[in-house]
Amino acid sequence: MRLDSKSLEAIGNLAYRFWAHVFRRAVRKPGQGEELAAFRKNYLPDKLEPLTGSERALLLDSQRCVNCGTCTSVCPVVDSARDGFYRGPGSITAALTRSFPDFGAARDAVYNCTQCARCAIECPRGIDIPGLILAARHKTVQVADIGMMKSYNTIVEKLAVSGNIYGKPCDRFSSYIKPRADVVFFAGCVGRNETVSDTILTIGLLEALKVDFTMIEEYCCGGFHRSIGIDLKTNEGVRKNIDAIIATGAKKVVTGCPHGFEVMKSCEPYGTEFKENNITVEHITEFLRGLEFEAAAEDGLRAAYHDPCFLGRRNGVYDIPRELIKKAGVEIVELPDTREESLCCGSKIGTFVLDSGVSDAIAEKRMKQVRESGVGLLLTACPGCLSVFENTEHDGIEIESVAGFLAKRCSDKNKVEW
Amino acid sequence: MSDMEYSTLVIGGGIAGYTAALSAREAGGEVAIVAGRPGASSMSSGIFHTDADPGRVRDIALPEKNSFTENMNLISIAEPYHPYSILAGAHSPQEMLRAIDCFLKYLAEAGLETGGAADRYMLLMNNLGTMNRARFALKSIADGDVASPGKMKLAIIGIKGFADYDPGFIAASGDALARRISGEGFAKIDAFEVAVKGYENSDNMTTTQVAEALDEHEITGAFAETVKRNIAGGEYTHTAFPAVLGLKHHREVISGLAEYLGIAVFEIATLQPSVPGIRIMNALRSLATRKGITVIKGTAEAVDTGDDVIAATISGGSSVYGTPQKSRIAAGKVIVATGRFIGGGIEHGNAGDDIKGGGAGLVETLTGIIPICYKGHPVKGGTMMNFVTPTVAEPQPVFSCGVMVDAKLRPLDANGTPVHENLRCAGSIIGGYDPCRGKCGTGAAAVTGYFAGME
Ligand SMILES: Cc1cc2nc3c(=O)[nH]c(=O)nc-3n(C[C@H](O)[C@H](O)[C@H](O)COP(=O)(O)OP(=O)(O)OC[C@H]3O[C@@H](n4cnc5c(N)ncnc54)[C@H](O)[C@@H]3O)c2cc1C
Repeated sequence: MRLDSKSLEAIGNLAYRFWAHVFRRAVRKPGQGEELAAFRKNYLPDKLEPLTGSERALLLDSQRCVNCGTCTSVCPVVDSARDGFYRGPGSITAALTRSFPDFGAARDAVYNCTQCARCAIECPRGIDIPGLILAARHKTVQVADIGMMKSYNTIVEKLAVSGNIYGKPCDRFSSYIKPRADVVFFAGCVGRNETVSDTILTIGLLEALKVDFTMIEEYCCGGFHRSIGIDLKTNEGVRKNIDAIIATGAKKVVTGCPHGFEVMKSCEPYGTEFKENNITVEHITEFLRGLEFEAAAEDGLRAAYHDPCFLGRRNGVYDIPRELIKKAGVEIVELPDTREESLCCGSKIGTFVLDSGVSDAIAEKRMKQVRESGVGLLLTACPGCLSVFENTEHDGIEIESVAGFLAKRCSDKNKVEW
Repeated sequence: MSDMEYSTLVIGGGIAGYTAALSAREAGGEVAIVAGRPGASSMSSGIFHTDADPGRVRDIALPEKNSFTENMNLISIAEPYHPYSILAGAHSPQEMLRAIDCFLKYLAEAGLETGGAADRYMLLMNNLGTMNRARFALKSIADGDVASPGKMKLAIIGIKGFADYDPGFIAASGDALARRISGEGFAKIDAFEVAVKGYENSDNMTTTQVAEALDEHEITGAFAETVKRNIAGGEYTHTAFPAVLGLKHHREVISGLAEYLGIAVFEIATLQPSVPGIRIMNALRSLATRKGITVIKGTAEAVDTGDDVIAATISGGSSVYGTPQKSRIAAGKVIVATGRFIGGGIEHGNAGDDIKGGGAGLVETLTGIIPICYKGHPVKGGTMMNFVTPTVAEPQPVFSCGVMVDAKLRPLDANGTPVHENLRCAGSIIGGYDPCRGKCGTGAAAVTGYFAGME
């Protein structure tokens, strides 16, 4: 062996490393124990929670994916995310199924879905992609630290403080709380805090139609928790909602918001508790259709109707809002993307897309369709959509909810004061 | 549950289903089609495979002389269970060609021009660097026929950030293949990559994303300018783009580009999601509505077979979690065009699975009573391994499994008798052929669809 200065240096280095390694154990450095504890905390119980039955079913179901890309081609987020940060529902299905689920790695992707369910309607194999994404979010929260997601942290904190996403309690509607009533009207976070005047109109309509209803001291229905991935079963606000509703003796909950509608209709613990107490859940449009009243709109009024994702595509309520609008003598102009193919509003306050610029771009795209349809009025049936469109450039086009619109146009017999 | 009645009810909105509905409408009568989710048709490339000489499917050289009608005769000898062979009992090859012409006519009426001819194959480049041999294609793709490469000076344009399409590779591979097949290379072939305005930083654009961007007038304008600058001075005769030149406004986009560049423009077929496939399905859907066919967005859940009429239960108002609205549609004739594994007309289940027909093996999902056959015999039970062979080059039996029909396209039961006088099948739910390997996917869907609707 030839010994030049380079090899000597290398051998010296090796020797130093060897002895340093051997003696390192003997000398205790400050802070070492803490690191170990931190390591243990994060990695020892590897935080892989067992899959629940429904999660397992979802994962197995998604194995039927044929990678055709149809979901990606209809996804509004992919369409608007121009720098390619979002690779679409297909990539999520692929990430979650082709290898053992690494939910942490799929995090950014799963938090860029608006839950509009357009992909699920179009998937040739009928895979419940939004359901899969919610399950992945749920897992993400379980295995990864929620603190990792900064923008979510503030929302989670606000929910903890006030029970709604606005971070402060809302007593605007306390005067409508009665101890007992036939019906509970559940306005929802957005309706109570943002689209307040529309909620007041809806309440006015219920009063004018002599509905025996009450409101309750509301907490978030759990829709926001669910879309972040937080379990509803142990949620305090959800528990309080259920108790308050049952205490009124009402057999029907009418929600102003399609998100609350879906959560209370099909999520636990609402499902079991309501079933035991014979309580049914209806969206305000379904409830209004069952009531008798007359409404008349201005002559020749043409309006576009925007199907909210959580009402139409997710829960199949397409015709009822249209019937109500026609009842007032309004001609409905169908937008280019409508009913099953309706375009999402961007869900800026619905299900949280990490990049709010994308939400804005989607809302803008929808508004463009409305402008080009030449109508003076845009109707929808979701406080979330309503608020998004009101905050989008709308060139003087009026934006109203179906209930609010009817309230303003009720005949004298059921005149609503506003 | 509400009741409706039609003379013909088509179940399944693929190429077979829409061709059947349109031809039934042409024959007279009230027609409804239940069209739910997209199937294989919306994934097909825009190149219409109608037939291939059964002995030469994998050959690289173009057969000297072989026309569609000649091939029908070859197929009926070599592939007795092919629907073409079964139809040959009642229809001449010329009549089958007329069925294909009719499908092309429907597309033209719907605003989608096609190109090609029945007596020769075109050579069409694709994004995999190979060449497709086909008689017909959408015109924008057919215009790229590499009939005489020696006369083509071709600029292949790629799109920055659109990863499934490498213009350099397509150019090199296309040139090499042209030499092997035609004995001469391209007079000139170069590759360029151009960015789409607003998507400069994207590294993973999808086909439909590019297409929808190019639907915007302003974006195509800027795109055309950049292309022109890139190819300036090259004296090209043709420019080729991936098949993403617009989804809604493709005609304007393509003709606009050709006019602005002053040379021929054509599209090269790309992978899924297939923009030409979506164009085709959108066109057929709007043509059907225009012709007074009732298009129902929904799913057929069951077919019940009475004496004369048969009826189907349809659940409409599609939603992911909602309760569907059920309706019953009675019809003088029901055409099942539900496709195969992609469309969902055939599924493979394990014992105990919640699918019709018991669950084990290959089952027909709509009625649950029509047996799935391979080479004329019902296949019973078994796992997927029973239907596949270990090497890629061999034919896979599973891709030729399907419903067995008679010359009137009535599905047959295990004894070989029609399940019902007024029940028909069309498209890839019919077995006996491999739509992809046999190079006849669109052709078989259109021919069986046409006859099922017409009679
Ligand atoms: C990826 C891919 C690429 C291809 N490329 C080409 C190509 O380039 N050229 C070519 O010629 N061929 C190609 N083929 C083959 C060709 O596309 C198919 O063979 C042909 O389109 C089949 O048409 P179809 O109408 O029978 O079935 P499909 O197009 O699958 O249609 C069946 C339809 O029925 C619907 N359906 C199923 N069950 C029900 C129900 N119960 N109720 C209501 N609706 C129902 C499905 O949702 C679906 O829309 C390709 C196939 C695939 C998969």
